[in-house]
Formats: sequence, C-alpha cells, structure tokens
Amino acid sequence: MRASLANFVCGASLMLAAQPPHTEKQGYATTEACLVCHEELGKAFLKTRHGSLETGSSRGWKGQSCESCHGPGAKHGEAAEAKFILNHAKATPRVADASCLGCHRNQATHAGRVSGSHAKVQVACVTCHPVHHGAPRNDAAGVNALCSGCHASAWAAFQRPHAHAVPQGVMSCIDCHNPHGTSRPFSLQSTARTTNAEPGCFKCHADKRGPFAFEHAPVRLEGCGACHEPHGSANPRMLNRAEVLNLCLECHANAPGSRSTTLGTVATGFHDLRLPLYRNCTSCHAKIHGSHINRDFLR
Amino acid sequence: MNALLWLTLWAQEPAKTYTGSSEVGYRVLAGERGSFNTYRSVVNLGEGPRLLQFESRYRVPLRWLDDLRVTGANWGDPLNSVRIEAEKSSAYRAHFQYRNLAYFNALPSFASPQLAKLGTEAYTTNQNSWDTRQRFWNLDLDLLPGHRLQPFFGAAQNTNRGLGVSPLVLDENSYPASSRVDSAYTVFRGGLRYELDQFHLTLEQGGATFSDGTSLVNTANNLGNREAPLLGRQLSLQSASRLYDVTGNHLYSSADLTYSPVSWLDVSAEYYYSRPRSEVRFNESARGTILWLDSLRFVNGQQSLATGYANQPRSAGGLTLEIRPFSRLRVLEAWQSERTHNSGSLALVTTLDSRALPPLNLEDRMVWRQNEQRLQAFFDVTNRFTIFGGHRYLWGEAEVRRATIAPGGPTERGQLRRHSVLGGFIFRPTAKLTFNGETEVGRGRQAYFRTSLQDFEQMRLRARYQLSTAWHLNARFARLDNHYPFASHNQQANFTLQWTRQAVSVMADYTRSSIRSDLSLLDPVLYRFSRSLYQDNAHTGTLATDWRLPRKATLTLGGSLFRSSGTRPSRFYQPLARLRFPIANHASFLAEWRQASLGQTLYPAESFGMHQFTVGLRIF
Repeated sequence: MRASLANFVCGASLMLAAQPPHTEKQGYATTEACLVCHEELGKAFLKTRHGSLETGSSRGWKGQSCESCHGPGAKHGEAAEAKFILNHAKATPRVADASCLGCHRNQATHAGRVSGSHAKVQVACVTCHPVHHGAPRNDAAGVNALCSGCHASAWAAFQRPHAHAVPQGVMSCIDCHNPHGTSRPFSLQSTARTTNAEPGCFKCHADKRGPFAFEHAPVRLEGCGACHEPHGSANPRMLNRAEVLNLCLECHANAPGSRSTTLGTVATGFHDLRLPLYRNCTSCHAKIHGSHINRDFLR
Repeated sequence: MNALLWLTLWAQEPAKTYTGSSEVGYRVLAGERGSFNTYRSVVNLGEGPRLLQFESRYRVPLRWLDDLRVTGANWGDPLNSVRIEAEKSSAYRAHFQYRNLAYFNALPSFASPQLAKLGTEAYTTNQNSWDTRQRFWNLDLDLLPGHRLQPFFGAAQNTNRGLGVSPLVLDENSYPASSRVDSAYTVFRGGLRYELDQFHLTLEQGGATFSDGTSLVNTANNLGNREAPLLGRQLSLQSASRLYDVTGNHLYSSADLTYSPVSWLDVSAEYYYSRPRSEVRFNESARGTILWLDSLRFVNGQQSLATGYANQPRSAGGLTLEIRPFSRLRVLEAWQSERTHNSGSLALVTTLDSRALPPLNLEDRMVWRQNEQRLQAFFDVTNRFTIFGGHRYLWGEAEVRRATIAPGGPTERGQLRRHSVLGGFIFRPTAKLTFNGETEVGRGRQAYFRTSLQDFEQMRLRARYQLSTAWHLNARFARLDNHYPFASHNQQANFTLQWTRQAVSVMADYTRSSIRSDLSLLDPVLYRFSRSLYQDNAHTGTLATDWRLPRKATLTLGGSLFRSSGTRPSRFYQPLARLRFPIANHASFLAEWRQASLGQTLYPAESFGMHQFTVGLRIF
C-alpha cells in the first residue's frame, strides 16, 4: 500500500514536472543573442534569483532565460522591432501576468492570489517586482515606499497622531497585509504561514488572543477592525471613533435596532453618561478584549 | 562573438561583493511646549546618539552562505528593528526579524475620568497608562528553496513587559493603582511544501505557549474616582493587591492547496484547525471603606480567589475556483466557512471582612458559525476594458452570553444574513492611463451588531495617469454608506501628484476624509432617547520635495499635516527639512530639522510641540 502510494506520488511528480525542451521550439533565440543589445539588463538579471534559470537546467531554460519570460525572440532579434517581443511594462496585466504565473502559479506564496484584490483589479506582478533588478527593497522603508505609491490614502491615515510605527520604518505594510492576496478581507495576513489561520493582529498583540472565559463577542465575530482603525486615528487607542463613549454606545445603546436579533444592544447599565467618570468606558471596563475573571470586563 | 561577450559578462561578475551603508547621528530636542507625556505617547523620540539606519549586503560564494543581508533602523530610539536574511542558493533561506517598541501611553483625555473635575492635576493619576516594552522576534527557515519538496521551520516570540497604571474596580468606585505587565507568547511551527508546476500543497503544524501575569498594587490612601460620599460614607482604598496568572497553550494544524488541473481552471483550498486553551489563577485583596453592592453594606476588607479555564476550538476552511472558459472571461467562485466554540468556567470565592461568601461557579460559552459564498465574473470587453460583477452572500449565527442586566435568558442569539451585489470596471485607454471602479450594494435581513454592515452601499473609484516621464497623477475616491439602523457614512477623496525633474522632485498628496455616524440611544438615567452624533472631517496632506544642489548636495523639504474638525478637533503637524552634502567619497553629512506639534481644541492641556534637530554622518 505504502509502495503504491509512493509510486503514485513519484509518477505524478514526474508527469506534472515534465516540460518540453524549449530549445527545440521554433522562434527561440538564445540569451547570447539578447545580450548583444541588452547587455546592462542581462548583467543585472544575472544577480537576481531568476539568474539561476540561465545556468540551471531544472526549469528547462538553460541558455534562454530571457525568453523564459519574454517569449521567443528570434524574430525580434532579426527585425530589431519591439512589436515582436513581449514587453511586460507595456502589455496588458493579464498577458504580463500569464508569463509570470507560468512558473509561479502554484506556489505557496500565491495560495491566496485568486482571492486577492490585486488580482481583481489587475495589478501586474511587474508593478511591484522589478524582475531585472532583483527583488524590491524588502526592508520596511522600501516596502512602505512601494505600497504608498498607489495606496496614498492609507499612507495619509498614518499621518494621524496615533498610528502603527509604519512611517518610522519599524513596521511595514506587509507585516499586516499579504500583497499576493489571502482569503481574508483587505488581504490581511494570518498568524501562520498558511492563509486561513487567525488574524495576523495577534502576532504582535498576543495578549488579546485569549481564549478568555468571558469573550467580548465583536472581537471574534467582526475582528479588530470593528473598533480599531489600524492605519491611524485621532484616538490614543486607535479607535475608529475619537471618543470612547461614541464607539461603545453605537452598539450598547439600550435601543434595539430594527432587527430583533442584533446582539449587545442593551447595557449601558445605570451610568449617568453626563458625568466624566462614565465617558471613558474602558477606564473601568479595562479588560474589554475579554476577561478571564469578570463577565463585565472590569478586571 | 556573442558567446565571447557572454563569457566576458560572467568573468566580470566578482567573486564576492560587499555593499553597505550606515547612518549615525546625534539628536537634540528643543522648544518643548505643552505636555511632555503626550509627546512621549505620540512621538517618543529622545535625545542622544543614534544609529539611524544601517544596511549591508555580503555576497560571497561560501559553502554555507552566498548572500547575507542585514538592515536595521532607529537604534537608540524607542522604536527599533533589525532584519537579517541569509541564503544559500538551493540549500536554505533564513529570515530573522526583531522589533523593539517602547509603548508609552499616558494620555489624559482618554485615561482619566477626573479630567473635568481636577484639571491638570488629573494628569498625575492617569488610568490605563502604560510604559512597557513590546519585543517581537520571528525566525523563518526554508530548506531547499526552489526544489519540489521544501521543509520549513519557524519560531516567533512576542513579549510585553513593563509598568503602568490600571484601575482596580470595586463596586461604585475605581481606584488607579500601579501595575506591572508581563506577557509572553512563543510559537514554534514546522511544515512541508510540495510544489509542482500544476500543484502545490503546504502542510503546517504549530504549537504555542503563552503566559500573562499582571500584578497590581496600591499602598496609599486612594479615594478613587468618586469623591462624593455614597450613602453617607466616603469610599476609599487603603491597600490592595491583585495577581493575575494566565497560562495557556495552543496547537494548530493547517493545510493550503492549489491545483491547476487544466489550463482554464485554478483550484485553491485551505483548512485550519486550532484548539487554544488557557488557565487562570487570580488573587485580589483590598482593604478600605468598600461598598458591597449585592447586600448594600460597607465592608473593610475584601478578598477574591478564583481559578478558571477557557477552551476555544476553531476550524476554518475555504475553497476557491478560478475558471477561465474563454480567454476573455474569468469566473471566480469562493466558499469560506468558519466554526468557533468558546467555553469557559470560573470558580470564585469571595471573602468579606474574613467571612467567606458561598462559592460562585460561573460558566460561559460562545458559539459562532459563519459562511461566505462569492461568485464573480470578469469579462474583457476589449483588451483595454474589463467589467466585472457578482454576488456575495454572508450568513452565520452566533450564540453569546447576554449582558448582566439585560432581560431574558442567559444567552442571546444573533444571526447574519446579507446579500450584496458587486460590480466594477477596469479601463485602460492607454498604457499610461488607468481608471478602475467598483461598487458593492448590500441588503440584509439580519446583522450581528448595530454597527455591522447591513443595508449599505460602498464604492471606490481610482484614476492613474502618467502624463509624461516627469508627471504622475493619481486620484481616488471611496465612500461607504450604511443605513442600519441609522444613516452613517465614511468618505475619502485623495489626490496625489508626482513631478520629477533632474534638479527637483515633488510628491504631494492631499486627502479629505469624513465620517458621520448618527445613532440614537436610550439614556439609562433619564430614560429618554438621545442622539450620539459623531462627526470627523479631516484634511491630511503630505509633501516631499527633493532639491539637487551644487556639489551633489540634496535638500529635502516637506512633512505632513493633519487637521480634523467635528467631535474631537485635532491638529497634528510634522514639517521636515533635511540637508545632505558629501564630505568625502564615501561619506556625507546630514543635518535635519523636524517638528512635531499636536493641538487638541477640546483638550488643550494635551497639546504639545517639540523641535528635533539631528546632525549625522552617512558612510557608504
């Protein structure tokens, strides 16, 4: 049984991994031919991870690494015209990505690609990945500069008084988001390498993870974003309302909504909301993320 | 000839390369005004020598290493980080990250309910203020990168340790007391990746331990937040201590799979199962004049001892199909499902004036099931114009504990039923001009919370235009309207301009955002409806201009501003000027001025202003 399973796996591997020898295809030139005109690009490309395509034989592009992405180049070389070669920067994202996904489609990094918003609005791989010049800067400042080039409104939110330490270069956008996509809203990261684990917020805020004997339901049901504005806020605790009272009362209003099944509509208690004592609910309800001891989150 | 050129290129490739730069400096603070505690809570950059940033890359063909990269920032400052990447082609890839963040938060407008009564004096007894260190490190090791079979391992730890002030809440009063925080979460994980051209599987198994010990001590006479006598007596706390000891563990298993059986179909599936468990031991004692509300009598001493546990098994899974029946059509079908069950139990013994009350056994549970189904189709009308549309259905149910004072049984059930229609377009008239827009209109029958999206419309529009090699324009508009149970909206408009010339480059960004939420609530004391109207209208601008001066000097001018009006008007300015000029072949001098200025119209005592001057040296 075990042997047959091993045979099946090996057979499947060989079958799926088998590729036609590209050198036998018509219309292909060689890297040597490309370098006659594109020497600088070639030199830079060799220093990247993709440079191993040129020398390694495992992917079947030995001596033809340029054409592994740009397609057959013989006609382009003969005519010296741009229209005969695939230029990813000018091609439509669908066409450009097709060549990248030819190799990278089934990789762990892209497990959430299909659900990701970048795929949805056709942000091409080469928008972020300068393939000829290696990986984009992966230090926090480099990543943030790249992301904020498009997500300017998110960057603007970080200019509010209370924000995660992204502008300081201590954290980067990809600490919380996976640009390749996840099954979570906003392509949020998760706590594990796989995509469907718990929200990535718990990686740093582990003390909020629980489990608690007494859970505050919105933390689990709607996530941290139900109360917090992670990009930046005028509130010291990065709440999505500047005053704590406003935030809590939007649910705990003592006034059931039009839907009878809405949770938590009762319970501002008997507090006199005009008194300053009761205007910062979490001054007393300090364990608002969940408590091990008290069902009203007082301790 | 060509072969010769190719060989020449290879020969030119140096056997080992080292590149790197580091920037050291000295910072001085000046012109302090307003609350220094607020400055520390918001900016928290101090004086003294700093290693502002460093970066080095060492590429050397060793037996065990061919690429090492180290980057870091802000050493000497309260927010610092380092990142190390090491790689041996086809053998391993390792990544280590360390972050050390000082979390200082002592903001009176949030922390002290005595603000209105005592004015600035209240700042000395902030509640919920922290002065802690959050440290985070993460190590990932991937073996045999690029091979079909790739084992991987990882470990991470997150700790939070330090001091603070926390409230000790007793009946009808709460007393700020000094506290000590000490929590740690450590996770180890490992797994296997199997990658083929058409198939990929990742299996991961992980385990974590965590601990959270918070202690709280009060040794002085403490009147708490209620200064007025209650039932003829003044409540006070003479001494108190609290010890929290939470420990737990967490095992999880997960799997990701992608499969492309044919050229027109991609399948993606995922599954996750975890079962975290925590145990708690709790000891709290207090002496003073304490009101015991259950029997409406005063006591001089109270002690609570408790032990408890919580379990939270959770399973989540999903399946996504991307179908491309024709070259112009892409259909996306996705299902997600999640089940969580939390159960907790607590045994509590309370002693009042040396007389024990009957033991209290409390149990709690929360059950949550949620599912999502999404169908979307993307159609390329032409090579430059794509439209998409679809439908999303979100449904689930939750059973949670009912609030203590709420009428009805011990639990309440919430349901979620929401249908929404999705639509949008992507239009690229030229390679340099892109428009895209999307909208979602949701109508539902049930929602978990009053703030949940239920009857809503949201839309996003974006335009990008590369006018020339020098000019880039980007505009974005987003709006969300939610009508459940009352109207609220959230809107953002953003405009970005980039202009790059040889001598100067400009990046300017302006964002206008507004939030309005208008909910009614039943005042619990006056027992009448009143409005909770929340408004926030904000302008945010950032500007970065780089000027190339003679002798390779550069001048950077810019900064950011934020102004908001509405419920809590605020102003936050961070102008910046930086001058760099070379002083040697591999060294340049740096002089920088920054200012941070916060103004709070309703909380003027919380405003601050501070100038930061830095001089430094960059070696590269």
